[in-house]
Amino acid sequence: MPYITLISVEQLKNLQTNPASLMVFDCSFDLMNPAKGEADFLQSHIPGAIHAHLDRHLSDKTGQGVNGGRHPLPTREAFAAWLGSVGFSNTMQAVVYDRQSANYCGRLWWMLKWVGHTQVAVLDGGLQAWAETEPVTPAATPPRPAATFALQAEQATLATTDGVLKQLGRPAQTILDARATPRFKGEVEPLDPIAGHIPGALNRPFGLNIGADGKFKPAAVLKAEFQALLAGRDPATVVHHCGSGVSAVPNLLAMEIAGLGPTALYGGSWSEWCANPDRPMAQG
Amino acid sequence: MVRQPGPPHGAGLNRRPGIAFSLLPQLAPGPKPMAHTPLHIATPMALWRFCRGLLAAFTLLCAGLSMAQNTKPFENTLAQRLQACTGCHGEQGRAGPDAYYPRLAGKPALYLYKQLLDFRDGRRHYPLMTGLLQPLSDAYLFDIAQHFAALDLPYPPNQTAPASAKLAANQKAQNPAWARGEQLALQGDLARQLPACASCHGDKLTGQLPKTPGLLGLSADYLNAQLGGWRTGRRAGQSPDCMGHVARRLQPADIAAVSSWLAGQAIPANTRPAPAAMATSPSNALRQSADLTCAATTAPMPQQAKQPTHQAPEVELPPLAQRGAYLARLGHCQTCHSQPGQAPWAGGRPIDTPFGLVFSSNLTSDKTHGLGQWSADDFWQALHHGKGRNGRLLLPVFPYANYSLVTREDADALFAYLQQIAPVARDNQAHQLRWPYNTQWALWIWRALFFKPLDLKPDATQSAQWNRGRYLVQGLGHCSACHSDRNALGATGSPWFQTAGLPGLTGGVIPMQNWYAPALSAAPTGVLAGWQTDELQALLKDGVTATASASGPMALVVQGSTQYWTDADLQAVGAYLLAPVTAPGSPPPAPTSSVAARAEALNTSGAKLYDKHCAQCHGDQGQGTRVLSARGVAVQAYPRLTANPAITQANPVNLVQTVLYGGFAPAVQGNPQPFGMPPYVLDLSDAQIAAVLTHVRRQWGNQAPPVSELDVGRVRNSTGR
Repeated sequence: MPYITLISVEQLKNLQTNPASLMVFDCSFDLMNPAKGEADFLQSHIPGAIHAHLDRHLSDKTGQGVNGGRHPLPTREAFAAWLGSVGFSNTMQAVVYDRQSANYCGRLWWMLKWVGHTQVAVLDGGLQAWAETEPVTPAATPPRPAATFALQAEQATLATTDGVLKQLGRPAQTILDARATPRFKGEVEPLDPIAGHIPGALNRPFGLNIGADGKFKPAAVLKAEFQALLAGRDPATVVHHCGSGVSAVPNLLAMEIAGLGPTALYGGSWSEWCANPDRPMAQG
Repeated sequence: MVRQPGPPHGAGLNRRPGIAFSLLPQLAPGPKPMAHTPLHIATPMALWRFCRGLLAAFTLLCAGLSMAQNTKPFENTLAQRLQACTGCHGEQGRAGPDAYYPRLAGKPALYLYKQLLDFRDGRRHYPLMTGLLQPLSDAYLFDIAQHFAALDLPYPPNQTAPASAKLAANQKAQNPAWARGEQLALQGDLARQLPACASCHGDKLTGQLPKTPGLLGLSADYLNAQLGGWRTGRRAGQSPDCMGHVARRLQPADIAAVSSWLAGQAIPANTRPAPAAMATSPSNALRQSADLTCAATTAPMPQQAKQPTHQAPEVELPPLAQRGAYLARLGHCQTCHSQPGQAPWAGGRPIDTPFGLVFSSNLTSDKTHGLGQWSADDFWQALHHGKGRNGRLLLPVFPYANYSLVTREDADALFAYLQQIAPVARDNQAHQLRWPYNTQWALWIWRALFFKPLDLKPDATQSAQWNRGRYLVQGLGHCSACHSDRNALGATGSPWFQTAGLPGLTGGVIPMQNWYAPALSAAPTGVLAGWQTDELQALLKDGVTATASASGPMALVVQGSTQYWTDADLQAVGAYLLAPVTAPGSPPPAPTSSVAARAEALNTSGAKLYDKHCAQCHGDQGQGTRVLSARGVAVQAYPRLTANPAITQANPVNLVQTVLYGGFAPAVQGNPQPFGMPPYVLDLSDAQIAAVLTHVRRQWGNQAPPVSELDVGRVRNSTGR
């Protein structure tokens, strides 16, 4: 049975008995120190995992990306080529994790859906949950022979700045901003040149999806919380964003866990939106 | 770690002066079973109890020791006191998806000092920093700046910098934005009147003494956000706002270009700021022509910096005004009637109320804008009757329900003091109240219901000291303004015709601030149960005692007011507030079974979070840490979490505030360099904060109701920090 949203430590352990059809990606990252995530990975990871780097593998900062903002997505073709280069093929189950409450591995989960791959799940509780009962290792994972990853029809919807702008203020689009409330309100802005939010957006900080045990909250709880937030709006109209398209994914994944998906991701997010000061913006 | 929030609330048990303390985390509550065991062991059962007590004490002692070996030992140093800073900024700076904390080490001291002043006084906008720094004095902020400026930590190598000069040249040739960034940083742009970054920030861009920061080793996003903030006016320096001038001449593409270029530079071997000489780069002339007199800005020099914010009352005043100066301290008048960082007593401070925004008035002797034309009778009418000079009804934000108790003699002294304050021509700002609260008739009705001027007669059945205490607490001290519950119309207590007399100090949530000011009750279950006058006096004087500390709004009260009260007056407060009471306080509500079950479910994650984030300072048994204060007495550095009513108070809002936003005890004469708690607003989710607080409230004999995720979310979202 494929895992398509979350996978538990126990379930991953069982999958490891058949390593040929499994690939585990460690997406640990630190925005302040882009080398730290990889260093952490080299120090300890789930046996057999490989590292996926947010800046190098999951973004394209050379200007060839498909959108703007702080973490532009690579083209689907470029990403598929990277998947093939690390030996990932269309028949495999992917499991992704990080040390940062699913904040970075969610990016890879979403991108795999975007290139048409259904069988990808986030390890619930991340490396911390794994390390509670299972061994971690600093041992390098032997590289796998290169494979072919063939692009499939998109299983995830990428919204563009123009698309969001066109639908602005219409009931067919519900913008959901995952940044912390003070940033949403425009009271502080530590990362972008303009503070505020897209007019009409709702706010749900991404941290709200994680319970006190570091795992995603139960589906019923998430469902109730999202329904209260949407207040009658059709979940299918939701377009998620955050600062750079990364931290919005926990909200998007939580809606799928809750049975309210699928929903769209505005990858450029606030960092692309506010790069042009003429776009509509709101504070408060 | 959690500081005891709010005003005087210490523990009910083992709270006596002279109890044992050490510089290392205490190993309480080990000895407790023994303390209740008779020394004469008369029966086998008593012998068993005694041995069991010994065993329990020994077990806890061992547990404590083994934990202590695993954690970094507590050191009574400035670095330890500043964990509230390094908790987020780290040694090299830190970033998360929603925040960026720049590195502090090695930046020019005067630059850091100016930023600290700007954050505290609201010129640089980051409410988290403002809240943390508010109870700190200029002197402490200067010490903090010097501490971080003196740290000599190497920068980590910049992984994104081009590895060689050749690669850098390629980058420049292929990427026009890179070339533009380099031009702006090193040459400036004459056509747009833009000086080079290097002309102020040092030829190597590592900063320039005395107060210009370096620009290397920062992320492109942070630089982008700061330049954007200056461009839109969110960030502004004091005049001359040279960075504002520069940023407003930059196009958005320029900002991105120069940010990326700066973030892409290799870190030089020597990262110390350049000496304080005028830069000699080619664009120096441009800098001058652009009227950017950055080097001549007006940051106070160290000797000025050493002056505390709240100076002791002047001694050269005539006797009446001198007494008035002390009365102004008692009333804490200056804090509300001054806008931080601006002329004192000139008003203009915004005060948020449930009915809208109110701006305090100018009390200087200015004849047009202040009290320059007022008579002593006018002032008495304001204080005693709550009416302005022209008979206009005053808003009860000015706590005249309390001030009406002030004697005419004291009112005259206070007025004499205000009249000698140099005039400041600052116009009073119009309030922004919603209808009908902005009308005189609404005020008339409110006053008819809730206000009646009081002439307080001494209570002959009580001592003179008690009467003085009542006069201070209920009058100028206006404690009930926070420590009483307010009704829907913002009044403390019931209409005057229902209750003759003074508002009860029954505790309440302070409007708009989301802090709970506890009931000031000395009843057996009240927060002041078992307190002695000298302890209350110490708390109000120094902001911290062996078992309690002031935080949140009360820290500001101690800093701006009670630290200056005479010992006799503080003792009078003790005589009044700690007078024996017969009415029992209400016992804490017992948790219902479902609530209890939820609490147990949270317990495991709460315990883990406690060990990870709190135990180092608050102890593995919640025992806290104490140090010797500047006065040579034991005070808490980090509050103990056991037998502490601040922890088990039914309303958890102060705990939530403290964990979310951290805080310092006030920096006062008796405790000039208080310890701080780091904010966890960006590290812990609502669910995690609820879990760790629930854990703390149900451990070590604590039996308080759990804290829900909703409790945390309400504070996080309402204060918007």
